Amino acid sequence: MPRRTFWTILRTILAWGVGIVFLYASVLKIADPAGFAQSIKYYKLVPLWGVNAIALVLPWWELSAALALLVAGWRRAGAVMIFGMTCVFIGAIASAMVRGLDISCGCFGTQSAKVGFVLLAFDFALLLAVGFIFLSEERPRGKGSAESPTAAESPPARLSATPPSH
Amino acid sequence: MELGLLKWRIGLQVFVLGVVSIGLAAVTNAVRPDRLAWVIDPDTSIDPGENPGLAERVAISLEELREHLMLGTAAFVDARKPEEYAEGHLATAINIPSTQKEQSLDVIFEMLPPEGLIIIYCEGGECESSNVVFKFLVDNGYPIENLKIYLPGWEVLGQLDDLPIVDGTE
Repeated sequence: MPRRTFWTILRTILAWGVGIVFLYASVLKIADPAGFAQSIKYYKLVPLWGVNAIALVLPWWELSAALALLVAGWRRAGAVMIFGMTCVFIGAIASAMVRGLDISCGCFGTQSAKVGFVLLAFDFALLLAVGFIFLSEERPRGKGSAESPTAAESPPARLSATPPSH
Repeated sequence: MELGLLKWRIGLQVFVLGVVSIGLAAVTNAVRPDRLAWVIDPDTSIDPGENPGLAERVAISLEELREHLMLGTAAFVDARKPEEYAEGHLATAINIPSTQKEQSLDVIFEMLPPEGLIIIYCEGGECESSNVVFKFLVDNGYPIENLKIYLPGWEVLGQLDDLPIVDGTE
């Protein structure tokens, strides 16, 4: 299998995998914002006045990021958003573990797992996946771009300070 | 595409997605029947964990709890996890775990008459489980004035020798 095809397939699989996870998580929370607000309160990290606003908006960020991840041209933006949110989730979960809070994560509504190392590992895997998606995503080719058609074909093509010269 | 331009494009896309998401959140919340207030007002909240005044009003002392338990003038709700309940609970208490309250609705309506006094306890500490069950009961039609919370919870009750304590799941 050509290397380009392999990396493209891997990126597509990861983008769909992460996208579906976030789509599923967001829909469950959009359906029950009060339940999600309760989950946020259990972490004892957010002041009371901010709990409901986060419970209302965060699931929509997850949804839009998940959809962006599935659309070429928007994939990097989706990856950036999911990377940022997952970093926050990791911080919240680690903080709950350090404080000995016996709570469910709230990630998937009422079907959420308890905070713990398994959940942390899952979130780190998500980070790796979106990191790979971001770095391997082909750059859009603008009109008059100096990039050659094969500029993004190396596995994985990375953002570089200078245009690649082939 | 130039690197600087690409960064701008990604930044703009993230900004657009963020703003559109906030708009969608506002619209969907405005049209849903169980609308959530954007900012919790502690004074009107029916969650004792959010409303310090309410928490003070619904708190019950050990002496009062003991009296109701001995005279049988109140129903008792244990809001802890089923496994904690099975290890020991007040003899007449029914178990409504805060995490499984929705599944317990039939038991609640069967065992807890809304017109009678109901005393809720949990593991102790900040007693978040009691607050969750309290709010759930209010949401399901139980009058606030008939609900009490014993905040010190099982941390204290479990240490007392003179209370009727049983184990098991019944």
